[in-house]
Amino acid sequence: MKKRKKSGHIARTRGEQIGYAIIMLVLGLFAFSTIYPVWHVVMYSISDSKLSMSGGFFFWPRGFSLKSYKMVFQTSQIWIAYRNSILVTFVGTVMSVGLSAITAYPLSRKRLHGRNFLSMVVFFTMLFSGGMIPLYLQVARLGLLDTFWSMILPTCMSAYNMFILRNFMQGVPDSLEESARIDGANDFIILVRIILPLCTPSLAAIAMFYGVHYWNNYMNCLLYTNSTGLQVLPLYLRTVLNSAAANALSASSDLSSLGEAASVLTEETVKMTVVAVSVIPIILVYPYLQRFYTKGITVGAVKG
Amino acid sequence: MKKTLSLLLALVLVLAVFALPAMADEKPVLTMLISGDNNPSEVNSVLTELGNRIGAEIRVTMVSKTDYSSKLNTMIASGTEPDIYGVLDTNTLLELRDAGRLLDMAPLLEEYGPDILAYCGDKLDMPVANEDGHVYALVSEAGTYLKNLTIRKDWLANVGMEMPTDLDSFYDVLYAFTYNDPDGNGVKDTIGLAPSMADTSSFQHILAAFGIGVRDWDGKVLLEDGTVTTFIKHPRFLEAIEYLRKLYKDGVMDPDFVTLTNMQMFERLWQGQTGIMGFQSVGTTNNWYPGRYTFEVPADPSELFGFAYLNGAGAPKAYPDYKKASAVIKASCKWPELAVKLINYIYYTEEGQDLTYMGVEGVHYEWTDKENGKFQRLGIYTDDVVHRADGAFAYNSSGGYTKENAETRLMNKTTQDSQAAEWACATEWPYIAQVVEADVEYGATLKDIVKECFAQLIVTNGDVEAEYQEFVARWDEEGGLEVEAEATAAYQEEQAAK
Amino acid sequence: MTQTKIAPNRLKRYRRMWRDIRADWILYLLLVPGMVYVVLFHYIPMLGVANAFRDYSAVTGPGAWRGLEIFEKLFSRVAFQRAFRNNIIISLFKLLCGFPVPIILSLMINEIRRPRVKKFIQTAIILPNFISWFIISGLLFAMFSVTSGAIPGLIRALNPNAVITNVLQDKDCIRTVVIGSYVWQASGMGTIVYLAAITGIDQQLYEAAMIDGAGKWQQMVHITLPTLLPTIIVLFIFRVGSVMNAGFDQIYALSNSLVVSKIDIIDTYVFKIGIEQAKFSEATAAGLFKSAIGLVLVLTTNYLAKKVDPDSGIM
Repeated sequence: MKKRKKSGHIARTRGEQIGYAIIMLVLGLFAFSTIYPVWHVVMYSISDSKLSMSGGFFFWPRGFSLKSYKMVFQTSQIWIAYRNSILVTFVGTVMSVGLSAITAYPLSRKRLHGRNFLSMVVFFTMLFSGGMIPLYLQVARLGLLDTFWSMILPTCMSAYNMFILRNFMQGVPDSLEESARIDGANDFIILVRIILPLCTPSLAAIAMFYGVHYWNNYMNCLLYTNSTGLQVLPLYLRTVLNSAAANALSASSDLSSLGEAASVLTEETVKMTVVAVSVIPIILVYPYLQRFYTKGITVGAVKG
Repeated sequence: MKKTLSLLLALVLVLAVFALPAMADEKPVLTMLISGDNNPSEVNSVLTELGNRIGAEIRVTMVSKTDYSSKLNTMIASGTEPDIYGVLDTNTLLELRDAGRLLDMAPLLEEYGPDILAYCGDKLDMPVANEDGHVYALVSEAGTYLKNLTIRKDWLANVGMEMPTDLDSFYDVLYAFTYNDPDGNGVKDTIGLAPSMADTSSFQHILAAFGIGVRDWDGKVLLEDGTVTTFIKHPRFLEAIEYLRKLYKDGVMDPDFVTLTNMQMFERLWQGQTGIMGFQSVGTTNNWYPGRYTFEVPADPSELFGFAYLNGAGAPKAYPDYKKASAVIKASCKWPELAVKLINYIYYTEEGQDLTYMGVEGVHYEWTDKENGKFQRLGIYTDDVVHRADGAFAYNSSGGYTKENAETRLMNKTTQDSQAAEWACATEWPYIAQVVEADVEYGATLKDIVKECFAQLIVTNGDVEAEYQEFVARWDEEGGLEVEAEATAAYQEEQAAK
Repeated sequence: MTQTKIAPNRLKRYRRMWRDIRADWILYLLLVPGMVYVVLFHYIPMLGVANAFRDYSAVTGPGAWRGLEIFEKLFSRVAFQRAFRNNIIISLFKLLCGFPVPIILSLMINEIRRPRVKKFIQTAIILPNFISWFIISGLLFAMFSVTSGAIPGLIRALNPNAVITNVLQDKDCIRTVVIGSYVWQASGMGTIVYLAAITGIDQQLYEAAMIDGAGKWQQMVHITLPTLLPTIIVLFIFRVGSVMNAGFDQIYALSNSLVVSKIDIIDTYVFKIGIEQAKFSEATAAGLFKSAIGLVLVLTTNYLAKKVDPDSGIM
């Protein structure tokens, strides 16, 4: 009934064509609605504050001004914060993915004694927490206060990501493992050589989750560190944002209007700039990660 | 064995040689936690200068206001709190005091805190943490500004009206500002009142005209029978609601007012969509002037703005918040004298206030007319960001703890005068200095009910009276009655003591 | 009698277990870092849940034991009861509406033929996840504001006499807005795991199906969905476990005086009482309560999943 074409596509029925059109329409509209906020943020941030005050939608910038970017990037502190954030995100993601992988692998093997119990032990951490202060006291006890590692270790493994990975690993058929074992490979080698490569898409997915978590997390930095030298980007941007808002509320006075050139930068513009500055790096890096889970694997390894 | 031992001994000796002189002239270090949103460099001119004047190295951690309690609570829990910090919640403050974790500054004040003594005098025992001559906490009296009802005079002239003096004339102005094209551009693009529910400032003067003084949503009023209770129980509350309903129905008040943020409310004034603002003049005629306005403004703010008093009633009075502590010193502070000296200097002396507010004279700024609070910033410090990164305006953002401080000294005359005028006719309300336990317990919930009641009664199409009774019943049921009883007792006790 | 019988059996089992562990020691060694981590950073701090049963202050540490008093006090508050009710309603609808959407989206994206378009759509739909709720609520205001909103403007253009209300301050509409905006915001991120799973499907299966004459719809029903099922189940169990987290940031940003009693949830309630006073015990109790509900739901779901397919579930 259906003939194969040389490209591998098959001729579609009328129903399938209509279905495809509907899918494209729905996805197109959805994508438009999801792109718009980022577009809005960027357009607002490069608009002239005085013109953008009237609000509404921003399909194009109103006027043009990079004043807010100048304000955000002027101090040396933002570069320190950028450096710290990149370090925390990179080191943290690598460690987290690694820790999740070596934990997920044993828990995915049915022959592991106490597998259900240990899985439950990890799962519990997602449900129950003792609150902010007990965790702080523990971080203090471990001597991590005011160190780089305090921004990574306390949130190093998420049960959610670990279980996603475990689930994918469970899908790898035992036969592959058996044949490797006959060749003399031990579990570690099997994990590194066979399991992980087969799980690249899911590794990329959880790397994405971890990366975003570390990039956006300011709580660890806020609570566990005191020195400005360890400040991360989201915390820095938070202070920029808050100071902009506080100035206008004038419970405290704004010196800018007492001095010479009065400020024509509104809080809203600063807010948009701050969001743009923190989101754009993610959007730039994302396609590289995305490659790993959009490229299909055709080794016939993962069972249905 | 012997060799190892002697080697070890030698090592210890060498270490001792290095360690001893270091210990001998160990420089005093004071750590501070400050709630604020500026991000000065760790080492900066202001901090260095301050350190030199005090004779100690000063290390400051700045934390945003929103994150301050989390940070402080964790520090307190692990015993790593800094030498000097502020405490925003009363219970924690009293617990700290009772656990002996706060320094009693009283014995040190004469020598190291003369300006604190001189300024506070009898008021030293006002903060709830201070009792029987012990001084554990200092409370800032700065920034207690009154709201003004600021109205654009040019718009009044355009629609041919006078400054309103009562509720009727205020309504007429609102109507004209909405429908009579006050900005003269031929388009209906203005609105009389664009209030925000973020705080009560937009409604204070209207409520005051009905005799209700409300500075905050949990504000209380004194009833005729002596009961102190929420302002929604004021006998004239529904009258005020009727007035506001009329504004809402007639379209002279922004229909989105419940969702408007503070900032959106300001922006409507800045860009000339509204000509009336209930907010302290410190904003309208000083901090925002002229930079934030998108239209042409005269050099003198008093030419553009005037201030209205409805039925002669001004905004409700403001009191310092003695239930918290702007500054405490931890009991285990190694240099308590220097800590007191530091607080005394930056918050209570003019010199110290100026240093932490404007920066180092001659480096960051110079006076052009010191008498009238005119100065100019120098060189690269004309730029806000650079100025603040070098430590100005960061450690003392409200200008000091004194009522007259760096901030008020630098205000323009219009602002100073309007604040004074507002004080002259300010509306009284039952201020309670002590902690009302039930308020702490149920305050957050009751505030939500009051706000919902206020907003709902303005917009509802249903039976106002019935809905009002429901809200009052809810308020009573969810802890309000307890608050009422405790607040009444506390107020009467304080009145009797006077 | 029976005891003597069991003992050797048990011994035998232990011995076998020990033998297995020795043989597979690397497998067990790999678990060590993860377990050390959960003990150090989760279980030791988790002892803090004890604070739900006693007084706790940051200043003096743990105080007197209170048994269930703190819970009783919390549950007796009318505001808490209201928050709990709202929490259940909002959570339930978020789960019902929010859970299937990423699956449907993933299946739709999988059908896109052009790789570039596919990649573009995939990137586009995760974007709202990076925008804070305060900005989204600003955009919603730009849409729904009575005076300047886009939608009221449109309605007015169609019917100048229409009575327009701002749905953001409308008691009857606000929950719909909350759930709708949640689905819109979170679905894109939700597709990532499903897409990764779809990517892992052996392409030969599709080719074989095509040769058998299966259309796109049949391929989806017979190949893609069954492959996704284990992932769907695991994600569902996780979602159920955290169902009581109804989205603090979102609710906080969309809240206003008129609708607060309709959308106040446990988290926002706890946050508010926390601001007034450092009520650590009550906050911990509320958290523990939420966790306990989550646990019950997870165990039930897991049990049901196992009944259907013994290989599925998380434990």
